Amino acid sequence: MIVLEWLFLTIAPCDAAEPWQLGSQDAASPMMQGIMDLHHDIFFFLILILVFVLRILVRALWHFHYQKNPIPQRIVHGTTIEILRTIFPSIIPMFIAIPSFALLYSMDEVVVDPAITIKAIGHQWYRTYEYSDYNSSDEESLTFDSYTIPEDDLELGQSRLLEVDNRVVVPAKTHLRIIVTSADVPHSWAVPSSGVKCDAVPGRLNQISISVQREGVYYGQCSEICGTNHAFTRAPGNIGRLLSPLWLSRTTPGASHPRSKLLQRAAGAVGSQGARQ
Amino acid sequence: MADEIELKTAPADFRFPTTNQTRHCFTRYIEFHRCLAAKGEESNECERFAKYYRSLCPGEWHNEILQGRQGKQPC
Repeated sequence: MIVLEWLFLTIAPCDAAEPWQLGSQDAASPMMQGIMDLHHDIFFFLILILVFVLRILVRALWHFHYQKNPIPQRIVHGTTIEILRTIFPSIIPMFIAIPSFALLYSMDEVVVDPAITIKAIGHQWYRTYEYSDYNSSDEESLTFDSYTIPEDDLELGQSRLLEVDNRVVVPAKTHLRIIVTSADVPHSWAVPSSGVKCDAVPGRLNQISISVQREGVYYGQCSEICGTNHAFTRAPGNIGRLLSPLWLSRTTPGASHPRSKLLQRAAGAVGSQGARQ
Repeated sequence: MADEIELKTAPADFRFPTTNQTRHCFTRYIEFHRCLAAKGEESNECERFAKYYRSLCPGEWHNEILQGRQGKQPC
């Protein structure tokens, strides 16, 4: 039984915050994978330095004893060691900087045109998502609000304070452009699995470019203090099930459905425009 | 499998390479209306710009821009 449980835990990816979690959630996008790789690179040097410094510290403390070492050495110069202890610590940050800058600049690079634009608008204390790529006029954007499910309404198996009523549905393995903004106060939209965190500033459109590589349900939380219910706002309102576009078309019968209806069905929400409390 | 879905949206504009896309939204909106002024209200060629600005600008901003253009002050 324990073996089975352990197997299950290794197979199911971690896409939401786990209790007593120490490491990152599993990567779902190349950006997050890059971040985790950089973390592993830096951590290696970190451990090296930590062990070295601890060893010297412990050794010095251990031998600093009035009976065992009554005459401490009085060495004040040592040209060789001074040169070495200057050169080596300046080489180590170089090893850290190279992958770090590589990741930093590649994160900013938008090489491919995005295939879909989703607007995530933060409110106090919920999110609104707009899919406007298939509008035929100014009035028809697919828009829905995404509220965190209160504790009393949770079903068995749902995560407390992570589940929302309407999830954002997004195609997998597609370049997405997410435009993040806010309608009232600053919020922040974060999905740790995808390595995404973007501030939602009123009056400003912030763009992030992601490409989620596997299907699944990803959770995130609001990452900028936005009032009393900040802790209860799900920033992405959790990114919903990521589906491939083929899946979308296969599940909707008939070739004559307009695209907004396809997305609507997948999002499981009624497209409503502007009717906010 | 029914209709092959083509995913298309406003392309990445090299004039706005950074995270802040506010001016991108505004520029697309202006381009659309300039196109309308140049080619006439009924032209279909401006539909491309219309799609771009609708993809980028949030719905609430449309209303505010529209009110601003009509000279009304937002309350």
